[in-house]
Amino acid sequence: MENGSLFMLIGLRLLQNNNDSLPISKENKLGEDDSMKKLYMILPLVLILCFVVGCQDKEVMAELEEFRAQAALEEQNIALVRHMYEELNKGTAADLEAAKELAVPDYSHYYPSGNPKPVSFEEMWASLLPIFEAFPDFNWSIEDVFAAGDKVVVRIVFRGTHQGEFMGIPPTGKKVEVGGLNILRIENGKFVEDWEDADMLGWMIQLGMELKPKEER
Amino acid sequence: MCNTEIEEQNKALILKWCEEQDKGNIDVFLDLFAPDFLYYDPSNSPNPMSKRETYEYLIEGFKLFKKVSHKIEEIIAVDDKVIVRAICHFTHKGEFQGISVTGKEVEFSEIVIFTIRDGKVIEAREETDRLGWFQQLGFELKPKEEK
Repeated sequence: MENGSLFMLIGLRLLQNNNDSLPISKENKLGEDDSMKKLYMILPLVLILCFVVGCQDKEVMAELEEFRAQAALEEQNIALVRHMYEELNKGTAADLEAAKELAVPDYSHYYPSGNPKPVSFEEMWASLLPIFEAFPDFNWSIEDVFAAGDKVVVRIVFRGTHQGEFMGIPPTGKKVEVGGLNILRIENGKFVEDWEDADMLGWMIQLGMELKPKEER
Repeated sequence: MCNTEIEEQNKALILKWCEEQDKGNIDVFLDLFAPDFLYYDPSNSPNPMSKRETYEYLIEGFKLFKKVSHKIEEIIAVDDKVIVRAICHFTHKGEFQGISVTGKEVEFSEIVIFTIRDGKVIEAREETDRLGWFQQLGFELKPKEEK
């Protein structure tokens, strides 16, 4: 009851200021009468204030508690996402086992975000292995991250040097920078599903590919 | 808590923008977006488009579309940001880079992060399955020809 206590303190301070010393001095008979009158006036007011504030306090406190709990959960979710990208940046097959613990068994990964056929956590990790190999200095950096309810939105940039064959393209030695946006849903501290869109076309163009009309065969 | 009202207003602004695009009403862009608006597509573009450039890009782009529809799968408002995950459904007309695209229907996904200040959009960062879009139009990736 923080607000209630605050008013109590203010009330006591008012009483204190009206008397030069506490407790009320019995020796100062002139002062005593004055002080006692003021006490009788102020004390009921203070008590009423405490009562009124106390009642409103409960509603405000409940709302505040809910708000705080939500904010704490969102902070935890953001921390989980940061941790997941840290694991990703380590990127060895062994870390798949550690990374898997972060997700539920029936995790779904939608890439592109509108893909009607999501993949599992293992399938997603398996699709990353060629990237780890072709871009040995790979790194996913979080440029921006926000949480809302059970979702975390993250804007990332993938960086790496093309040193191994990737998607049929022989190594070019080119440094790439590829943007991505990811919406992740988290329940009870584990990833449940995520939807991602990324600049795959830009990635391919940076590796020296271009779009041409399909040849008739 | 006091954020919620602004978040709702921001959501409504973005929903309106999506609706107007679907009606083919591009001019509303000039009202809903701030003068210092910057458009990042891809989301990490080193050369974002200005408001003027984006408007011209939209006008040019819409010449290729007979019909446009954005199906919003998800919309999230948090602080000054609105995040949209949508499926774009375009029916094309005319020619694009030498290919006739008339009648071609494409469907691809996108995620956009909008930043809003004082009721106007000041920034948009977008990722689109553009590769999927072009593949559906009849394009494929080939190594760049040495010239």
